[in-house]
Amino acid sequence: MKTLMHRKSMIVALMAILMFVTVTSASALNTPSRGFTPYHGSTALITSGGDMNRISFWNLVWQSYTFTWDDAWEWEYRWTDISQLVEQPRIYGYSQLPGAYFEDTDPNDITFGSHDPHQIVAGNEYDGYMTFTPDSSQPSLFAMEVESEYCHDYGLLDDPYPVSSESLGWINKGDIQYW
Amino acid sequence: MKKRLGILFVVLLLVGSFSTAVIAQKALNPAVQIQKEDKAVKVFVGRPSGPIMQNAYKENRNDVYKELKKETPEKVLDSIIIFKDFVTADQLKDIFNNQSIEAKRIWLAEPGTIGIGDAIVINNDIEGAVNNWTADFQRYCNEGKEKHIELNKNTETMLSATKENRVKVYAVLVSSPISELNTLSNNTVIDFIDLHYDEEAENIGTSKEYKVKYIDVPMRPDGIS
Repeated sequence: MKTLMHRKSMIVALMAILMFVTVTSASALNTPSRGFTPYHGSTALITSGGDMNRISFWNLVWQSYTFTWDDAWEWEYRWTDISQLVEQPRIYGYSQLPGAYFEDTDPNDITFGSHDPHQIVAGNEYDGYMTFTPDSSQPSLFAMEVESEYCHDYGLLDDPYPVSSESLGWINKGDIQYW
Repeated sequence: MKKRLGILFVVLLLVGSFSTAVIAQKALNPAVQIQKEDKAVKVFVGRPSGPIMQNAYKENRNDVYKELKKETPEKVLDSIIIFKDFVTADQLKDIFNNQSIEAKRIWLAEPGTIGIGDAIVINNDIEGAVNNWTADFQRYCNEGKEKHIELNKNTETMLSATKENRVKVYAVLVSSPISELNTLSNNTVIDFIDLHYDEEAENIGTSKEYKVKYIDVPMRPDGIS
């Protein structure tokens, strides 16, 4: 009987540990594998009074990567319906990306863009953020997918269009992630 | 007794982990479909894209402005006003006294330092927008420090600039009847006016029922990208 109890306890403990590991790993960002994605950095979905009001990143660093004059690069935070999270557009923004632009009126993503990624210097650090008024229907818990997009910008219509992209995974509201 | 406590601990851990897993699963459901195609035509404004030279771009945009002023002077459009040099909020007071021109957003930077900011403008209060952005930027820096982030040198420089009033404006997004922009186009501090209007994009938008999105990327007067 004692052996049976001991075995059950062990199984339950093992299950608990496995579930804990699963949840923890689900909210971590992956190590990028594509050269157009910064290999190092940190990002946070900052909350104030319980609601997310700012998307921040710090010290994005690229390895040597050859962007050309007709490229653009976008750093996206994706969710099914942005209007449920924050009021669009942003109130404030800041970015050190070359040719910095912000896209905050799309239904599914909030984007930090670089119009001139060919001016990104390998090894240099780049910061940025956008501040929003939280929407009254903002869920108490949500996660946004973080995506790096390599785009072409020929100065024509439909630009910049994504050529290749890489998802780094999800970040939870209120979390900070490093990679 | 120890064994019972051990079992209790494991049960609590299990319940806690399970609840967290359920909540997290709801938020991280990989089955959620994100519509990647926004059905939008994007147009960059404020600087040339592709191989077009700056002067040619400005000339072209100036022609667009003149043409629309002639054809549809009363049409209300957004446009980005780009200055020849960095200006203070005080220098802009006179320009935005004109109530028929609504200032919607400003772009600011410290001359010579990498990094740009932007802030929403309410009631044409440019000075208020600069001050609000400054306070928000300082909050961002404090949040980074609280999270043990080492701010990079450009952020540190901008932080000092916000404390010493060295942050200046270099572009303003306005909304007004095109004819009203005339008062701005004659102003010597203004480099050029870039309307949120591109005929080809608008035609595609109309024919395909796509939204035309103008993305502001105003040029800085100090040449930093």
